[in-house]
Amino acid sequence: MKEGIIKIPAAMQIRVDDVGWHIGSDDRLLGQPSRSGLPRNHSVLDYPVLNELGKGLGVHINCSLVLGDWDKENILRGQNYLTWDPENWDRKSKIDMEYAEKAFELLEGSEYIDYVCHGVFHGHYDGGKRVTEKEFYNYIYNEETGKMEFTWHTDEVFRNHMDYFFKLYDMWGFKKPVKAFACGCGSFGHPNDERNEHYCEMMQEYGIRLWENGWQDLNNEEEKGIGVSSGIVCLHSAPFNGGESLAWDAYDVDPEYLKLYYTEDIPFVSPDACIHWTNLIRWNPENNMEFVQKWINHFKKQAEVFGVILSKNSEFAASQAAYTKFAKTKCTEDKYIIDLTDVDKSGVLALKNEFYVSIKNGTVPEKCVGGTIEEYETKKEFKTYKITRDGSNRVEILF
Amino acid sequence: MKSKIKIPIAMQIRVDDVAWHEGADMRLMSRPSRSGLPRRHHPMDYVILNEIGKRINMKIGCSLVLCDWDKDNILRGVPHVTWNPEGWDRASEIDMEYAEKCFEMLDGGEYLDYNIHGICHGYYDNGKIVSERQYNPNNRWLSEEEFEKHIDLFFELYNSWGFKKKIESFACPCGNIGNLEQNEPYFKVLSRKGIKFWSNGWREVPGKTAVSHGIIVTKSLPNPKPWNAMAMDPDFIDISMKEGDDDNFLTEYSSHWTNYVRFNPENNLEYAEKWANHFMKQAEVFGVMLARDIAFSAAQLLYHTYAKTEIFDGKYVIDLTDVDSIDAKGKSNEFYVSLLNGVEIDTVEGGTFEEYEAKKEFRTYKISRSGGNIVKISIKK
Repeated sequence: MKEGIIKIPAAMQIRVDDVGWHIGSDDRLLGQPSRSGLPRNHSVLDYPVLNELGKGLGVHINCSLVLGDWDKENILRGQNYLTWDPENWDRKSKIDMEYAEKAFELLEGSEYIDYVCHGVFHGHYDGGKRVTEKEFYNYIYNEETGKMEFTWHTDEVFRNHMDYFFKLYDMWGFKKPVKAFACGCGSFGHPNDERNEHYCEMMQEYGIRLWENGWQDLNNEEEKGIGVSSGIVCLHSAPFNGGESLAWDAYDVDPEYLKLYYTEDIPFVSPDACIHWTNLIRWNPENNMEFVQKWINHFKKQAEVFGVILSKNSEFAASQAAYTKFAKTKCTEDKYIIDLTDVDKSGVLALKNEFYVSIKNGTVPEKCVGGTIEEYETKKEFKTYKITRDGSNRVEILF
Repeated sequence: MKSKIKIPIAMQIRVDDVAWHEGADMRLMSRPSRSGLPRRHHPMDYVILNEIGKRINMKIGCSLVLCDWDKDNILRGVPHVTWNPEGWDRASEIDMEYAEKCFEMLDGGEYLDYNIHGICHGYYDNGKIVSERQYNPNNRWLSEEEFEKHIDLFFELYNSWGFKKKIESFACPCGNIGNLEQNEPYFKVLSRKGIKFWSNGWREVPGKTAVSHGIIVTKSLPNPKPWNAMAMDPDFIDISMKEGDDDNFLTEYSSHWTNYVRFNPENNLEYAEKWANHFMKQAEVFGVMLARDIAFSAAQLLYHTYAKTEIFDGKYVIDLTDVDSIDAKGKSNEFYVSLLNGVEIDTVEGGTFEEYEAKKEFRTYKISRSGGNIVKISIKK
């Protein structure tokens, strides 16, 4: 059997960053957050596009929530690291509760919206100033190098950011479990750096199983855009527009003019397909739905590329990522051998007993040793099968 | 009868921040706000303006910002106009193929008119932007000499490309400040440079217009907000001037380039018809008409503001003494009157008349004066 007709595809998880802002405008000039970059307040009509996208694709969209604008009880007052004005903090008197309640219903009522912890105000603040937009990192002067550099927070500060995200979350009565994390403006270092490992240990306590970000240290063929840190799967996001970036604050984006995120001439799939909320919406929210079908078609076209399946949700993405990265495969004349020893050793908390393989048209599996095989989906040039393991760390697909 | 005849205001569309090459707001890096469009501008971004103009038969007033066009590094070493005077090297950065296409679209646009807007849309010092108001940093005025230098540099950039349209209008970036007296040195300079019209908010100048050093002040209506809103759907924008609110009618519909363009320039023309319909809807309001160009709007503004009208002996009498007493360079011997349906001109003394355009509820006539300062319109019985 020829190499290249069978693959353990990457499960591409669609992530939409910066969801949940009430105010859209980029206020960095005022020392405030970049927010969604949309020069208007968000509308309740900005949420249904997320639901419709997920519904049209049959997947859960990972929405990276920023919750500072939701502080209806002023719990952020006095929190030095979380806002630009800790002493006078008074979101309570400004929040539009009618809007917020409708937005809450649309988020929580959607079957296709999942949540990602993105942060409180998309930045780390100190003394009323924004230190960095990377909320979960610090940016300080390094006397040795003489430069400003990113570094990790202390445990206390890291937990301060996480705790208040979840306090805001619980205050509103959000119920869906938050299983994924994405630091605003990308992560820093390699997932296996000591401090990132420790971050992941702490994140486990909050129920996190997947860390999606631009992980530059994972951006190579060896790593395949996938890492594991203290049991949490870390997925790299590449520039969305076929290797070119799509501006985070671009709205009115017509997907017909976007390149595919992954094509077979790109060396590997970065499984975290990240766009921003603003990219999906229009200046006039009444027009929001106009491009939704085009977005659905865009991702469907993406799923026609051999080597990719669309992830159903965070756990699906994390588990399949472990198989994509750690399974060792070998093709012989009549079978495809998958050694899962390293998968099982990976320590991935979200690891499932099932995984997926894609096989190009013309080759049909006859038997599966070490598990059962069933057809999962059919694309123009290939089919994807779900393999449910029987406990062995070796699976053989016979043709 | 008087309420059935009006000297309408001629609304002129002004589009600020035209001609940036890069769109992204760079104020965080102490650079210009530019057009605020989160992509590079495209030649199609000029086409949409021309297409709107074509549909409504108006030359759109484009307020040009020209620093991105500095192919000859004219701005190198010049203080306060760029964020990097010593290291300025636009010549090595400019995409000439792109710029030439943009030039063709701009200068070839039959329905595009120009205003001087600025060089880098700000006043800079020590590599930092001091103010986005290029001519009024920290709410002060530049010396006459420095202001003249800014205007000269604008024209140097303009001429380095061989733009052919004559620029007769000026519009400060981010609005203007002060009254006529405070701005007098600027009027002097602009007058010397051939400018006839100055369009801005002019909030400290009472009334609808004023004239200084021969330059007609054209005041702007509140514009669609915000400046950086891209792809506005005109179906959701209300008209600026409503029936019966004549006291608040102003000449300039001030807007921004980004309001008219789409993120994907391939889609730019999708809203052209809607924009045209929006402006045509405005022109259906009795007391408003659309100007053909900046000069048209300003000339009509003088008649709209200074002509005295009364009904005398069954005739609509227009006393133009005050119009004629104004020393303005942009005056015209023609003006326009609108008459509600059912009221028709029989004869005109002091001039000739011809129908200019018909709207649902009124008609507008062009009056060409024959020399006197009184025009009498007799109405058919």
